[in-house]
Amino acid sequence: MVDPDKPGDSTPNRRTILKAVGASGVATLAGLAGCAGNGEQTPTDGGDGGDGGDGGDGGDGGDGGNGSDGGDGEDGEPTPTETETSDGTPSGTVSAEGNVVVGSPVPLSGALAALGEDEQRGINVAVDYINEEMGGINGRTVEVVFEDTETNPATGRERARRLVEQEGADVLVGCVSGAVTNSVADYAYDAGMPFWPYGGSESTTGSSCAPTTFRYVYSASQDARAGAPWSVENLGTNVWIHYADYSYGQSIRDEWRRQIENHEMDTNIVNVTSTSLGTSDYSSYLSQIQSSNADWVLMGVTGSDLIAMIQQANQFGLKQQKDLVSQNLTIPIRGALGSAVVGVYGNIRYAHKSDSESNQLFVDRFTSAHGQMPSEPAMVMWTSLLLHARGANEAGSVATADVVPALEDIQSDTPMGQTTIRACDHQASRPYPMGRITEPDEYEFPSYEILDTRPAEEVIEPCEETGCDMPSL
Amino acid sequence: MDPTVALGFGFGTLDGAVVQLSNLNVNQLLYLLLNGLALGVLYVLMASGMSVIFGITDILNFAHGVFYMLGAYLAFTVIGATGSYFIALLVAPLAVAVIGAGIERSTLNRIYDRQPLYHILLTFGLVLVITDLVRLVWGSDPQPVATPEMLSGAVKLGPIFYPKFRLFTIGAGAVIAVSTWALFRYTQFGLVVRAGAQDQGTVRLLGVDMAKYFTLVFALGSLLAGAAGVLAAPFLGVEPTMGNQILITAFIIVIVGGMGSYLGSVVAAFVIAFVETLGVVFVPELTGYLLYLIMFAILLFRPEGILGTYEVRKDLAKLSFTESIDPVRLGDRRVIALIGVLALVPLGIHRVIPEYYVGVISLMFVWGLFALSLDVVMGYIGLISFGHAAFFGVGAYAVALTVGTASNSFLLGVAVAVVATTAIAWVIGALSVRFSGVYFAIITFAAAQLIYEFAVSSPDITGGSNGMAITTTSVLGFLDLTDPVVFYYLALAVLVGCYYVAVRVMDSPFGRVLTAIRESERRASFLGYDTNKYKRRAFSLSGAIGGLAGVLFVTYQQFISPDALYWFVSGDALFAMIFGGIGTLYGPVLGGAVLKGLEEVLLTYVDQWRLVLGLILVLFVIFAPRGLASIFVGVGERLEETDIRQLLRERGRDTDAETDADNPPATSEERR
Repeated sequence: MVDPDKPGDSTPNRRTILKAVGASGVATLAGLAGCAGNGEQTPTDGGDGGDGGDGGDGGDGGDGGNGSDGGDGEDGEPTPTETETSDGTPSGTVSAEGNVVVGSPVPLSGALAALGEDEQRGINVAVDYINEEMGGINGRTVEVVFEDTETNPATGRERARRLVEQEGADVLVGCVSGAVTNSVADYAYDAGMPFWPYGGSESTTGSSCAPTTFRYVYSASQDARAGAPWSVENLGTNVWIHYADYSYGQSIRDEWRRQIENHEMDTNIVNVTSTSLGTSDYSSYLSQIQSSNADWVLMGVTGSDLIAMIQQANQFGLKQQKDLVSQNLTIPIRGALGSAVVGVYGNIRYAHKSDSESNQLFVDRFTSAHGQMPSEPAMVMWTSLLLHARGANEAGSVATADVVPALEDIQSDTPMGQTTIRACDHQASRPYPMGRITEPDEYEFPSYEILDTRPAEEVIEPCEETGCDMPSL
Repeated sequence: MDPTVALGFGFGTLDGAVVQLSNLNVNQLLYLLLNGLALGVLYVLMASGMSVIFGITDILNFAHGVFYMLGAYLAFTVIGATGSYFIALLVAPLAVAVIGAGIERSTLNRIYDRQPLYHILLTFGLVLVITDLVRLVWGSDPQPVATPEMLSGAVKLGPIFYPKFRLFTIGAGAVIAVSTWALFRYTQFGLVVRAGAQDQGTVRLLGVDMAKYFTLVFALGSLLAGAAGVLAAPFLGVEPTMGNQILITAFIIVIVGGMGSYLGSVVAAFVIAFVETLGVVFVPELTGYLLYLIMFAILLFRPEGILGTYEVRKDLAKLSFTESIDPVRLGDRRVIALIGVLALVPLGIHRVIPEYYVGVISLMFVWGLFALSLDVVMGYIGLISFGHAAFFGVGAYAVALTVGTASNSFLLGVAVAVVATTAIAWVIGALSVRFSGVYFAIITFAAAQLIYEFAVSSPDITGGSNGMAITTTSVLGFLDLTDPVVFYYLALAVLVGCYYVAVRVMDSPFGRVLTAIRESERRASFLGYDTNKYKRRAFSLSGAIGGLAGVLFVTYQQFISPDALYWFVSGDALFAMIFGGIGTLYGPVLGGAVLKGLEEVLLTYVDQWRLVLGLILVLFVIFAPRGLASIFVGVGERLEETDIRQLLRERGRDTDAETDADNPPATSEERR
């Protein structure tokens, strides 16, 4: 066997080079570790609450306290903009004492990166708004630090821990994947940190509910309670359910099936099929559906799975024969599909065309900051942060024990309508429109028309049925 | 989920299958046939490329999936620039071929004479680099590739409507596959390739420059993969992870068809495609597992594959080192000093270092332990395990399940984990130690993926992809392991303990036999040793240590999800091991720790840190295959040589190499 490690010829050169590289590498690592270590000291100190007390004092008399907070504002205002293009770098500057830190674990890589980036944009816009128009939280400037969860629950939890312990976060917002959300929610409860997720499963505000978890985004049961009855009443009673065989897909299957079977009309579930997450070829299933007597198909998949399924359904000409229903027709997915998605029915998770004052404010600020339309993740994050800011301001403090009671039963006019954060499970109760995807109008992505809006009380599960037994803080 | 619902669901599906069978009509048959063909054609392109590359270069190309992905992305760009899908179909595969050739020339070309382990690692590094580059250039969002106008919509075929584009895929794919076959059958190039797959040595003797043919074959394989990507793009979508699933399927097809056989991979591709297509309809509960079952069946009964010409030689691809770097003993002064420093670290908590970093260093211990477990089986027997994530994950889940159902006791969790991982390692070992080299790598890879699939789709047991959180664990009821300081010492103790055990085992008669097997299994068996038994035992030990790493991981995280079982984790362990130095035991521990630390640091400054890691891996494989350990040894040797030269000059006589106890205990032996 030829030996590439022959000494004597090139070996000294190789070794010398490697020694040099290794030595400088180790030195750099040590230096960087030192820097990173020193850099993180201050926020931890800032998060000790003593500074929070100072902020409170400033708020009382409005003496020097306000003035110095105003000074912080001027320093801090560029900070959210810096983090706009942040890739997980701690907000460039050492956090000035007294800032409220929003810790945001979001997927910036992995399958859900696109949603994570939208969350990021929404959070940045919200933080800007809070600082500019609301005077910050408790008069203190708000800054945000992002970390990449990599769509991995263990990593997400690690990053959340880092945000709390290293960056001194006062609230956590973000996450997309159900698994990551539940992992971070579990940690947040342990750490006593309020957490507003975008994702999560039914159990997030159900059987695993926690006093620290608040959720504005619709729950799986809300999705099904809005979608299934409408579809049965308008599209037909013979249903084919297809889902992705992982937690989110399984929850879609379970919730929709329950609603369909419990419907007063005589429904018939023709078949229930599944594919593993990440499946790209749906031909076999689409063929079967085509030969069946189903009226409509529930596509319990999302992301690239949904894009593939709808694209292929078009190729099979399935749309002409059956109705397609999905609860995940977000703007990015519609944009990726183009005309292929026109004519599909589903839950309108974010009615971006709504002319309510609340929505117009959000859309205006978002489009002027980013030059593109916001999608659901951004809207949810915006609303969550604004609600949290309001709660903290009403409570006069950002400490968990004070904010949580202030947030329970809080009511607000949000971009998606009049909302109440229920005390029993911390889930947002709000109306839910159903609709059909239409050709693009103002923007390049397909638009929607609302066919019916289900009222909030109909859509949310009664407190006794959620399985939530809210533990104490 | 309610168990009765699950049971009912299960029966319902079986019922459904029986009903389907009896209701099978012409419509469905036609669909099944066409779907199977369309899928099969894609598989043919992927698997044949991989099989041909392996047949002649002995390289198992992990990067095949990214070439598939590159083909799709390049097609997306070409369509964006020219508006024509057909131009893309022509240009993109060629571009991928050029890229493939370039990569081969600059990286793989240098390491053909090395063992397959390095090839696998290099191509794995390439996967990381290229995937992140693609993200950098095109973003992480799925990109839409529209079906060309004239091929969109469905066409009436008898009683059914079938997508035109799929029919085109079948046609185009068939044309490409037949052309490739003709290339092999009728051209000079094909003749050399076939001869080279049969017997490389003879072909070289005949004066053929094999290096050129390696490049050409690699380019051809990449072209086929790229073409598959272009054909798949409009139908299956374009996103950075699109190559992962089809890579696994390609591995399975290549094994079933027989490594190195073009025709074999064609046949197997269609077999697998039809099995998948039919399986979805008739046995949907087995969907995730069907392919693995087939692969294992083939390996049991006909390991060469359907049309295999590749000899699955038992003692193929051993791992020999030119330098034997012995593990550093625990009694060594430097080790004691290091342990001393590490033991003092937590005392500086809150004053010198934040609590968070104590946790990070604890994780570094865990990763060092995991890499150590891999070194036991790779560095000492030369078995390439690409499935160690299985032990890591199973160990973690064992603890999670024990704590969740039985008791909070850490020790009980450890016991269950060790038993479980040893058992699984023994089973996998029994099945696969007969094979070596790439076969062993693929089998362990597939076994780990099988366990991953199980974890994802069994939410009632494992919590599914949501994972499981565990509340708290304690040792003997009084040591609370949620305290980072307590955990730190525990992790350090376990790491030191396992290292000690590993060093002692490798130094024992058992360990000597392992080293002998690594050097030459044939010789060892001639000496009367039952080599398979030794390999199984070593693999079981390796699995147990890997399980311990998983145990520590879940105790620290208080959370586990199926991601811990995904093959990237196995890849990370391999990376740590090669980075630190195979076969040294202490090298991988260092490598694992450095890997974890590097991740932590890189994360704050670099978005594409996987790209950096991949690059480091590639560089190390090419230039420093013995890893960091060889660098340290090199430093020590320089000292030695300087001493010797000085002494020679001064006293003009031979000197012993080892005169100073502070010198590294390793000696450098050239082995021919």
